[in-house]
Amino acid sequence: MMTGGDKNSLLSDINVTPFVDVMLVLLIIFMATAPMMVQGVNVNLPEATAKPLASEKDHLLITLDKGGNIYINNYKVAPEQLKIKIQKILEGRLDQEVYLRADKDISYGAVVKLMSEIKEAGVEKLGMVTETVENKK
Amino acid sequence: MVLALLLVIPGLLLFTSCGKQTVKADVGEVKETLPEKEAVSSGSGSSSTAGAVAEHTGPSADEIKAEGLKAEKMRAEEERNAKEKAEAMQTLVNEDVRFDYDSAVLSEAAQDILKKKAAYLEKFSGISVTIEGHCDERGTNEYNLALGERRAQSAKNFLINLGISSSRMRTISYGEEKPLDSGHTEEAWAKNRRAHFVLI
Amino acid sequence: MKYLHLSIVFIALILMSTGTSFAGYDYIDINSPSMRKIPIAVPLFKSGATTLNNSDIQLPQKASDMLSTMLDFTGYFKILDKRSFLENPIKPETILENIDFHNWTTVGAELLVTGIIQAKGNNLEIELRLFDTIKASQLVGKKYRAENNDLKQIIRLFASEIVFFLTGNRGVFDTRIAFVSTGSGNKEIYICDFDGTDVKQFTNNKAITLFPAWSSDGQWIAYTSYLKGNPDLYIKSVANNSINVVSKNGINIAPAWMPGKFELAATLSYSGDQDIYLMTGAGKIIKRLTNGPGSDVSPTISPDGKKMAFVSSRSGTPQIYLQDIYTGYVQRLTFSGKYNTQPCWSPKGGKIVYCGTDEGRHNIFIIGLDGKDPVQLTHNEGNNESPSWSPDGTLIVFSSTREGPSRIYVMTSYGTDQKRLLAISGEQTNPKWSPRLADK
Repeated sequence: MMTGGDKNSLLSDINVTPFVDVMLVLLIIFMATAPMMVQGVNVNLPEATAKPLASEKDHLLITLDKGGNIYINNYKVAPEQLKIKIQKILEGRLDQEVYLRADKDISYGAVVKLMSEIKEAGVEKLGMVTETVENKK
Repeated sequence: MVLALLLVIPGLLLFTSCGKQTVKADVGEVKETLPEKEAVSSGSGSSSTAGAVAEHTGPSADEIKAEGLKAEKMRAEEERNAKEKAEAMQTLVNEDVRFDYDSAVLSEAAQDILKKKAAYLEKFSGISVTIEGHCDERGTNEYNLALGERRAQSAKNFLINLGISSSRMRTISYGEEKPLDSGHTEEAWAKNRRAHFVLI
Repeated sequence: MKYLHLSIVFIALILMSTGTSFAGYDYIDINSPSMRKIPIAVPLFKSGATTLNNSDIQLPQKASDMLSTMLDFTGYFKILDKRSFLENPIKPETILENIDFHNWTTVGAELLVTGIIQAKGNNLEIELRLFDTIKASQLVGKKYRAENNDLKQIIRLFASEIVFFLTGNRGVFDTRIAFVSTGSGNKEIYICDFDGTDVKQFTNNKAITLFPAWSSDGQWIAYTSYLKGNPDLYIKSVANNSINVVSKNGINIAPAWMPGKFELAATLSYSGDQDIYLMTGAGKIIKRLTNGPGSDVSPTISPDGKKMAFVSSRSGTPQIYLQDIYTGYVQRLTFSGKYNTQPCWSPKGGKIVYCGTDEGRHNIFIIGLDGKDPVQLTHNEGNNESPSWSPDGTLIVFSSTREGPSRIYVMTSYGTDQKRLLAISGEQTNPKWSPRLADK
């Protein structure tokens, strides 16, 4: 990022890029495909062409549905309870991976907010669940 | 009396709800303590008057003087004896025989102390003693109880060899259960590893 | 004894869905020092009552907490935090068909215990189940009915069932621990449950009282007391006031019982030498076992009753020796260190745990009968003394000054999971683990 100069720039000029940057540095994000996530709440998923990863059986899946409700597997969690819940679950698990699927209609801001909360709970690797394009066909 | 009243008043307050009998009983108990007090005070009074009476009795003045001198002499001797005996007791009781860690062997210093004790025991043949064996806290309970007995026993055997009758000495081990000094320093432990004499 | 009067009506073995032939011993290998703790979920039990009042909410909570604590005590399990559970705590699912096992494996659970509990008048009805969450199958299912105040007994029985299923042995849930405490001002003997609860004063001698030892049927405790001034041996019934006394000249100390017999060994010094004698529970001497110079103390008998380990100073320093009780053949067991005392023979037979002292520091060691390579179990944490095995041989209770005053601690036989057993006033020493008491 360029620095040193334009003191007259307005607040509205603030770019979200650095924020996402930081998050990307601290959080390893990978792609996973929907068919592996058989259980849980139905949501419409965004499509992607990135190669899916083979995922393990007991993945911790967090879902954000169209209505903004948050689920772990099929268990609905109040937003303020999410962080502690994830922390406690990670204490009992061997891996520290979390898979996140968000409805494609949900706002980008809401997803970022959820991601940052997941990060704060101590998650090191976050899998973004998508539906592969081929799958959709 | 004030005390009695003080006792009665809360007694009454407490027992008013419990019927008359209890109240009576309570008062009765308090009253009973009073004559006891009187008895004690009159007792101490009579002993002092008895002393006074003894001083006033007796025949002529000369006789009194001679008797007095003799009595004084005897008293002085008795006092000296008593003092010596008391000292002996003190030495017997106060001066512990000390031991090295995990040892019941008598050092030279320990033997010197035991010789002194033997001399007193010989002089005052009416005295019997209990020899207690003790240990410091560093060992373990069971073994220390055994070690304490060996310490007491070696002190006793030493005295037997010096001619003191074994019937005048009994031994007991307290292991690490009765430390003289409850500290956890080398100094405290040294004090606690001991054979201690008690008069029976 | 307490356990005699238990009025638990054991209803039935229910729903052994996997069949009785299913042996679960491969879940936990207790002979492996690198044993992994199995993650287990013990969610809040379900109340069987249709309308909930206060006690109906508290009871399930109390029962599930009790079971968690007991399972945790064994050292076999990693008890998962209830806050991680993906289940509504108000409406837990308790039977195979309804449980969402995926939600349990997600939180890391490999085992799951569910319960339904209901108070009916003076009685309790409890259904308890153990599940394998990975195989999604029920391993153990039991239904109990008992009086209200026997809740702990029921939980204890089921904990015992769980441990039995997973390890092949019954665990320590029906055992107690005797120890010495100065709480009353004098050293007296106290007894508590295996987990440090339910502390009761056993002697009230108002005199130094030491070295409790349980008979192998758990009916008697022998100990040494200065009740009459001299360190005498007392053999006292746990259930009633029967008492036998051995009061010979000199010391009468540190008793140990013969397995399966009303006979015990202890050190007496009436002969002038401190030797170990075998005597009847009534205090009559059967025979003199040792005859060496120096002190012979702290006998402990092998589980087959044929051998004895003891401490002797015959070589100059206190060391542990093994002796064949019948042939008298003696061999020295410990050679490293200058002060090795307080041996306790393992219930499985192959090992001896003892207290080794180096530069005034006491620590707990384990040694094989070949005397090779003693393993130190406690390190740099105060003085650690008086080790005693749990009857299943998985745990060791001992006293330690690691927190200042001497207190009772428990660890696994590998030295892991060291934790304080209880916090009561005074100092506690000389712990001795009882045999299993349930069948009595």
